[in-house]
Amino acid sequence: MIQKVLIANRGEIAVRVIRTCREMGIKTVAIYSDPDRTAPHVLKADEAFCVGPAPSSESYLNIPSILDVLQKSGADAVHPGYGFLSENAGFADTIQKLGITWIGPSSEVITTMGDKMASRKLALETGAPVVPGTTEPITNVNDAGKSAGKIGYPLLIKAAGGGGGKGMRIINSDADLEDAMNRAQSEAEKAFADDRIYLEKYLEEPHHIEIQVFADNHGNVVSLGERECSIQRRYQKIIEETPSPFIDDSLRNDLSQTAITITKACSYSGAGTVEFLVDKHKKYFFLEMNTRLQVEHPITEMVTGFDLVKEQICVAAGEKLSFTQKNIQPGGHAIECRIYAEDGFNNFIPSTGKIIEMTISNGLGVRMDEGIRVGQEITSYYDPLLGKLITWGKDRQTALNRMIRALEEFHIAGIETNIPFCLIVLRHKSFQNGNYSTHTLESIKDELQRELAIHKEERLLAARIGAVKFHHHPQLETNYRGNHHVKNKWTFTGRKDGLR
Amino acid sequence: MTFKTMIEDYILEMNFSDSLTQLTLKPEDDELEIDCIPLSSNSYSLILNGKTHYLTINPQLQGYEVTVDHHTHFVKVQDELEALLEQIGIQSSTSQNAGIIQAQIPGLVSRLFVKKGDRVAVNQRLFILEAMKMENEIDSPISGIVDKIYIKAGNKVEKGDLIMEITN
Repeated sequence: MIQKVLIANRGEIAVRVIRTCREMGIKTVAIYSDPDRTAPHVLKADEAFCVGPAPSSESYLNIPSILDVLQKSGADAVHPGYGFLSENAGFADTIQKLGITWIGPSSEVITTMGDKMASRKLALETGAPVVPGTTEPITNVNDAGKSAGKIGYPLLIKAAGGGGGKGMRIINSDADLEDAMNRAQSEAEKAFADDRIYLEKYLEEPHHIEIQVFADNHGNVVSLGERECSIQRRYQKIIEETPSPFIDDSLRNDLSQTAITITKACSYSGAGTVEFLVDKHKKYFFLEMNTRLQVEHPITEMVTGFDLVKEQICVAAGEKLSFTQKNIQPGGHAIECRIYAEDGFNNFIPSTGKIIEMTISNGLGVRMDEGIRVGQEITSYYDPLLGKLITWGKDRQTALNRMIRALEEFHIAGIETNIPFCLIVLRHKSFQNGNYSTHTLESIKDELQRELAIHKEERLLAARIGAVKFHHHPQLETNYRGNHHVKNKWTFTGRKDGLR
Repeated sequence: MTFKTMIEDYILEMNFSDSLTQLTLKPEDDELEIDCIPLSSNSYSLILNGKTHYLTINPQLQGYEVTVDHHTHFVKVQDELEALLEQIGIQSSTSQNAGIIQAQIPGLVSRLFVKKGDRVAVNQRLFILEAMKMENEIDSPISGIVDKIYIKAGNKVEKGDLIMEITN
């Protein structure tokens, strides 16, 4: 069995992996960049090593430096989390060749499925429906124009090398094509060191629904059900839920079966996610497969009761899956809100600063997967994801009411977060009724903005009063801690007698 | 005690009792009871008209960033002495700054779409600010003429750095 895991990541996902490792009695090794010396994942891990300066390219993506730490620490496995090197086949390959356990699928699978175009081909071969688009990368405007004509506008430009909305652009006409291509290429090059881009048909009011799959090295493949991820901004998810309020059991089953077929076809191993777009006519299309743990995996854990990180580690160690398809009987409803350092009412512009106060929500059915602490500086070097708030309830309305309650209790000061934005979205009738698509946020933007005005006068007055109070009496803290530090005879006697 | 507070250019004169426990906004109004208790060095519990609020205060150079029930407002405060000093001649800058474009986050200005002397419309794109692995398009908040540009494409900027000025 695995003894010591190196976690090649930072933030909330590194903390998430450390938690499961500790529960399993596995030692953890954190890596960090200079400014992350006091980040929570470093504080929580058993061992920690610096891998370079602030920019990711010189630290969290610095393979030689990470391999060095691997050797120094004697870790026998690597968990890549998501993002960074998680879908880097070269890194996975190097790890495997060193005789170290890679907690993820093989480098061959990452190569095939990580390449968005190769995975589209593979899905087509299994007979799965695929969104119409180009099968080869587009490199010049003329070819792109011809392909665009065939597929029909509106179109999406996407990066072949990775997901997360990086490099993605909508184009409505030939006129927009060249500029959008240039920008998509430059973003793709920066994000994935791969400037290949391709075109895809932009669907009508699509839902983004994905299936969590799990496979072991003994031929077992299981679907753990779907996640509805249609509330997105800048093509990145903000709120996810399971089960999806949009699909029925028959479509649910079709999606699961298609996902299992694709997973088998690529000889997958470990945790994976097969993403689909489902249009308003309930026609579904394979979008891509993510060969790693997803940000939103906790909602699946909440309804199935399985620890997906534990399962990943066991599968990587060669064990059989701890469950069969029959054991997957999702119960209740789970919702996740991604807590981002950004202003939801100002173009989602990222916010930086120091967290000076924080109250994390608690109570029945509430889970927080966080990567932050009071006193931490949020810089612009990394993704603005601070953590995820997850709620579970016996039905959708309970989970939803609980999420609103939990967000209301969740206070962070010193940086802007999207908490007020999430609250307004969750209270909007489209979310309350479970009637939303990936286009909903854009179309209700103005309504959400108007909601901001509610209670605004009262808040402004409260803000003025607080500022006056502070201005008049800046708080200086003196913390008397009693006399614990004074050594007296009593404590010595106590220790001697083994009473303390 | 009188304090002037300003949020987004709106100034409110506030008359407090000496212990800051009562507030009068207009002479004809009743006094408001202010129950504002510190919880830590940066946070307060405020009960106002029976309603509870959680406040956090982040002092800045020119005022305070106050978060009230998740929403953050920037508040400038002047006590009587400071107001007097201003009257004597230390005039604080007025708010003709809608066309002053500053970097809201640190990053890299990768592309500029306008040059000095260009006429721009509201929401016309001005430049791309790359930060947090994203290309953020920054649009003009007002219509007018690009008066000054302080940076070149490729420059790195810190939060608050001046990027350009637009006059109308």
